[in-house]
Amino acid sequence: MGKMSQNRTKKIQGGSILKYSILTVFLILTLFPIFWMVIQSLKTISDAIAIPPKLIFHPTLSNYQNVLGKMGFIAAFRDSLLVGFGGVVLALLVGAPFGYCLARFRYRGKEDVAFFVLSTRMMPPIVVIIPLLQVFHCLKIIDSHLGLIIASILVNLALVVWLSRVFFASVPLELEEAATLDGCSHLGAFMRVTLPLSAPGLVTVAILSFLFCWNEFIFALTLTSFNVKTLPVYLATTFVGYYAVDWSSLSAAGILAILPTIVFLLLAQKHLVKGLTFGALD
Amino acid sequence: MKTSTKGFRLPYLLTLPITLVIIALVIYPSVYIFYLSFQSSVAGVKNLAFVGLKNFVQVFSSSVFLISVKNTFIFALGSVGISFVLGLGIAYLLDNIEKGKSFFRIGFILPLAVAPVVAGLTWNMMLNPLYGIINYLLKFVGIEGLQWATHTDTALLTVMLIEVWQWNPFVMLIIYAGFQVLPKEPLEAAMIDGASSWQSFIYVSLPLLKPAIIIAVIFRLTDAFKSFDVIYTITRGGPGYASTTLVIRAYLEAFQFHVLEHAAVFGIVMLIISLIISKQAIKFLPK
Repeated sequence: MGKMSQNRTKKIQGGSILKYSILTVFLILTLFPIFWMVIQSLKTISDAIAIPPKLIFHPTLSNYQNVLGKMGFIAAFRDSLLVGFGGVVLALLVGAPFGYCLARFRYRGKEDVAFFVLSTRMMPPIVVIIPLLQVFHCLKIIDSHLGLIIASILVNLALVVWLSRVFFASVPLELEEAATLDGCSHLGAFMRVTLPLSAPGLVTVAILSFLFCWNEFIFALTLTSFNVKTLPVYLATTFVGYYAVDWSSLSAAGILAILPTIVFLLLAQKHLVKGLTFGALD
Repeated sequence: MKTSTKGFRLPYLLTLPITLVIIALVIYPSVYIFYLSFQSSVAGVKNLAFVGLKNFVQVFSSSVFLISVKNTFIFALGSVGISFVLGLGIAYLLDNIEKGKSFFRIGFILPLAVAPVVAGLTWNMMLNPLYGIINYLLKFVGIEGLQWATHTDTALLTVMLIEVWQWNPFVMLIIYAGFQVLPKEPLEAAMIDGASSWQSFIYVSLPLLKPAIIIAVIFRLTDAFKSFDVIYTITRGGPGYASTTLVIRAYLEAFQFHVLEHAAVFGIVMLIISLIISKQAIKFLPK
């Protein structure tokens, strides 16, 4: 008996060593590109394309100085911030009220709108871009922050609706009803009870939306050009010359561009699991 | 009485903004693209001329159309298939370890924060056949390096692998969340009945994980279907048509060749495919 349980413990230990080894291998594969980007960003231009690749080198911060000294990068960072914040606010203003309706009311047409909301996520970008280019020309908002912000609603609308629905639904209806009985209007009950209680979830939605706006590429590539250039467009076009790519500056710019989103993802990751499963797995 | 009428109006008032947005950004563009696909824009988009089915005939009879349909399906099904196996495997292991769960989980989701353009550029640097680190490391363990994105045989595979790297965390995270809420009793019952851990995984856990798996697969499939950033930054659909998908071709038709009506035909094909997927998807999503 004793021997058997000893064997069992050994087997379990052996099993968990295997599990940790497999996980570690995959974790290294997952993180290696980010690690390599950091390494390359600390090399000189010629070290970055040395054959064979240099693993031992003199680290330099000059690439970061170079990138941060460029007007283009700072402008792109500012454009990305503006479009990101604008996109989040607009998507929340449009999407969250409907998320609330999905969580609280039964009425005709609700399911149809819900289907269309899902379809916003699946719209092929080209179908939106060609008509929008013409409309934006007429409205004189081509190559502007506003135009890109409007288009970016499509990126986040489904996310905002489905996630805010989950977070609104997790506030017990009884609390809201109690506030109404105490003399609050429906709006008052919402503002004083439901909104504060669902705030952490909504902040997660906002952070995720910001992340997707920040990383959005195809709308930024087609709807903006000279006046507005967000970071992904800037990165894809600036350091890539006809003959050569400045990999070390590009890596430094890439690291600077993903720093905010990494911080945001770490902040949001706790609520992410609940949100990503749309409450189905509560 | 008063509250009931209010209760009737309020939802419609709150649904109004999103309805307007859907009309402006989904319905109007779709109708316009449909209209455009029957026109010729030779004289400019302000002077469209009706040409019947000419654009459809031209696009459908071109070899690049069939290639892009084929590549799109290989890309979407392939990358989601690999993500599914990897995501499920990692989520299972993550659920079955004692210590360091949150350490590994946070590590595994980091690629989600990396902009796809940055991911594409970085992988392109690492996969460079001459000075890239990947071929160097492969040679180190005795494997002959590949030409990756620069060869017709491997270009599509290369962009698929990058797509997997970028979005595997998403699949893993959702399935992991599914593991967190699995009821313990069926698994314990299977253990008592003498099932091996492999058997209880296949016959007990997997069926119970179905909702999480469906959500992950549907969302990934629709995204992979219109994935653009990585392919654009690395290959622009090349070499030749080796990694040309429907989105890439539609983009090139519109912005490189300036044949908007052909881009519109590609748009309609994609619209129909995505409508079919959404119709199926909505059945599986929680109400």
